[in-house]
Amino acid sequence: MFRYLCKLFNVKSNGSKEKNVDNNNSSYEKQGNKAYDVKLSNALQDNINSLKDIFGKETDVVFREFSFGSNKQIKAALIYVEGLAEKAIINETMMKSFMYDSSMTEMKSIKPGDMNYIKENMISVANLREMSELSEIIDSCLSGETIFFIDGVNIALAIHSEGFETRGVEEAKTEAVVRGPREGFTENIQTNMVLLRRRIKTPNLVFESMRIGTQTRTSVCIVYLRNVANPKIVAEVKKRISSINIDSILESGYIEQLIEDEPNSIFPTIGNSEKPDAAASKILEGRVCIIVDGTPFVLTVPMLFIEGFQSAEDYYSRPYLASMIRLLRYLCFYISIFAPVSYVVLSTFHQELIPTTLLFTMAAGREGVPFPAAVEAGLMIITFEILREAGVRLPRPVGQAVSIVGALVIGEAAVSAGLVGGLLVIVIALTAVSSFVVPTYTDVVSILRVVFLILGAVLGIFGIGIGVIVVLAHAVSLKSFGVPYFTPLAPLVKDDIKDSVIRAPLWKMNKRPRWIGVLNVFRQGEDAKPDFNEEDND
Amino acid sequence: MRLDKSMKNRKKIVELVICLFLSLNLTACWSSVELNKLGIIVGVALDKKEKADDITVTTQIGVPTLEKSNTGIGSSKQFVNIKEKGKTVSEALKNISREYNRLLFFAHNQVVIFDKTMAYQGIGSEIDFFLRNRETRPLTWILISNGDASDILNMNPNSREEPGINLGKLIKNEEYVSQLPIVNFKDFTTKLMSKTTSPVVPIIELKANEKKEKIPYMLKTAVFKKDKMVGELNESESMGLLWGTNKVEYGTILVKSPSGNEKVGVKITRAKGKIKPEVKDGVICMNIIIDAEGDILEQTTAEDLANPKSFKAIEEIENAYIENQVMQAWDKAKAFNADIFGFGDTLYKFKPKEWKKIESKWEEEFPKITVKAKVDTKVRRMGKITKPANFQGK
Repeated sequence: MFRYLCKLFNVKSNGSKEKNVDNNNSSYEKQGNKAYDVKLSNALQDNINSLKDIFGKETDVVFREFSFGSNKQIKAALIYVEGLAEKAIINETMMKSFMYDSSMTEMKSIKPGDMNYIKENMISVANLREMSELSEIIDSCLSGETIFFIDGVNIALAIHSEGFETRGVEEAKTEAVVRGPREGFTENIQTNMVLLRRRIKTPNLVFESMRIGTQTRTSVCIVYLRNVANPKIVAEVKKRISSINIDSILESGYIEQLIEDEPNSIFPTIGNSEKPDAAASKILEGRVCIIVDGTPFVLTVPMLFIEGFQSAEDYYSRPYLASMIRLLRYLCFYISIFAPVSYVVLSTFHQELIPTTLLFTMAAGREGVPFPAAVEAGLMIITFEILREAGVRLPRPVGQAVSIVGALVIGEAAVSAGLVGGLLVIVIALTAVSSFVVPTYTDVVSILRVVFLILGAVLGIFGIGIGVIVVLAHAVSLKSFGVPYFTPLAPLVKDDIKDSVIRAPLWKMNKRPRWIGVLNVFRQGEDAKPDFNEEDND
Repeated sequence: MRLDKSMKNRKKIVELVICLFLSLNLTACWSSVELNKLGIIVGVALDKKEKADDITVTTQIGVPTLEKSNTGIGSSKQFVNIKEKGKTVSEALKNISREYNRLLFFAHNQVVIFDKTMAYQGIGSEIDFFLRNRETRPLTWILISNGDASDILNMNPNSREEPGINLGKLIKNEEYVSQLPIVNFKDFTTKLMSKTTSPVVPIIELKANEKKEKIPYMLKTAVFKKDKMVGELNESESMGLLWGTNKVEYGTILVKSPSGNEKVGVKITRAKGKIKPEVKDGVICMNIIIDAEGDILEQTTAEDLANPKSFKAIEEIENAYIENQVMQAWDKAKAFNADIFGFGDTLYKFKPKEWKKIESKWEEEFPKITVKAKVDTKVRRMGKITKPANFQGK
């Protein structure tokens, strides 16, 4: 719709974007630590000096210089960030072996500059890398690694020694399940990668790391299955992420907003999950996950509209109830958008559609209410949004007080004070509860509810009709990383219906979603249906 | 330069969106009416004295009241009746809005009652309003009142409902007991539009109960010739009409017991009536074929009826009883020269050639039609008990 308007008015949206870049951002370049793109020198002191220059005097970076070897003939230095690096590791594996062991044993043979010998014989740490560029060294040092220099070599060793405080793996707060794993992602990207790796133990699972944000240098990791994910989508994800030019990435929401297909749309085209099992299932379907350091919310692309109605638990419980619940979610989605506007439209435009008895009940409730039904509904919606926001932000003990007050205000008091009709309270309550059934779309629903309320209040049932046409036209025109947003419903993919409106039995879901798992269509054998009758066993 | 152009375009879009939203306001919530500004009509009564110019329209408007659970029952009056005169229905309604402060809303009207005097003068011009108006429904029931129609709407309902709604339910209930034809505007008008068929409408009257309160009571059927009422069918004749026109669904009939003096009640579980026309040598014969099944509902005799022989006997008595009812109705129809069974239409449908021959002289031909009723009833079940409690034999 918006695109159509743009076309109508000959707006070249690309042109305007380009221009913005030209004019406003020309002074802003990708700087980051790339500015220090300098090779190391052979002299230890030079390297240390240049690093000291970069970090400055007031810094949390520790420079520990020492010499070792039987004659203390080799000068060396360790550089790490206080608090980020685990001191026990440094002491145990480096300081001890260099300063104590090297003087005890035959170490005369070590020549200054023999980095390979040191690497192979002296550092008892599993994970270390060689580095020769200053920018790399800065990045890894600031991520908690310990950098080891010796004199006479233009190579440094980055020793894995992260040891900062993180939150442990806890139950996911947002996607609670009755049955299913309780683990949730944490703020630590390493932990999150481990959580995924523990679920998918195949060499085809690819982790591609990069750093985004000129100031924050946040680690971002793209995870996908090499033999399943659509290479075009993977390439597109990489392209979009690498085009991000921003100073900070503090949460995956930053990435989401910078790489989504339709930034003007109210529909989210990138999914997120806090649960490793949910993320793993998306990867196994061929989706690409984007893990961002510092947040437990992992992005999944491409995202389809129907994903909002799927819950991890659907697949863990048996299909019958799961299908029913899924239908219920669709119903709730519609209720939470259309219930208030239906009340308004029926009671002000189409009273003939209400059963006579109900009409009298409704009219009795409206008797003595000072505002028009639309204003009444609008007031209640605003009240509800206020209460919701207050409840979310407040600390838990205060939040309870808010909900009690809210229940009283919304419920009994508003009615007995004559401010709103009794039936409307039920309608709004139903709307509110329904909107939480589909948490992915809670914000979409909240916006649409108000838009439809205005349309309905002005134009009656025609307003709702017009609104539905516009919203649907917009929604089906959306794409998420090249995949139509409304598949498998529009365009229709018959095979994928089995996991959209209903949830087919697991043994029936032989194929991966058509648009997503293109490389490897079949996920299981054709005859997956369990059949253990006695005759078959004979 | 390029910047200016895009700014202009953006401005254009913003202007368009603003215009769209502002244009929404122009409609100003057109045709919207708040519920508390609506007078919901649940019943209408039309009265017209003999040779009078004006008709009196009584509208019953339900007053919505919140039900308070602990207060007494039926203490508050839940409706207002407003009476106004006018030359036509719409004029009378216009006059009503001079005294009533809400917009009259017809969509929930349950019933329109015509006074009998008016029915004899013809109601064709009055029903036009109810058919034409966008709000009124063709499924609104029609009644003819014995006495002033407005009194019917005034009577004390025996439930807590408005009299109009009570009447609507009363008529709806007739469907299950099958004693009187139930007629809405759609039925009435279809028959009115037919060349031959006569509309029928149930008659309602006020009957005093033991507390000296007037309660509505449906007893008879009014027979119309075109839009003018010509006469009445009594209880038994109405039933005969229902049998002939396939309107019996459920209901009970009371027949004599096989032994003679006592009674047996039969509850009808399935019934079907069909008219088969036959023309022989210019003589039109209408075969009314009725199939019915029923269970024994009660018996006043002490004899054991639970045997095929008794069933057979009851069935035969039943057959004669129903045939008699149908013939009574036919006799009345003949007397009024009113085609209440729809013989004309049946002939037109099944014997078009014969129909063309007699179409012009239908009025004279109609009373000459021979009507035969072929009734086939079956008694199927005895109910919960077989022999009566006071059965003395073995």
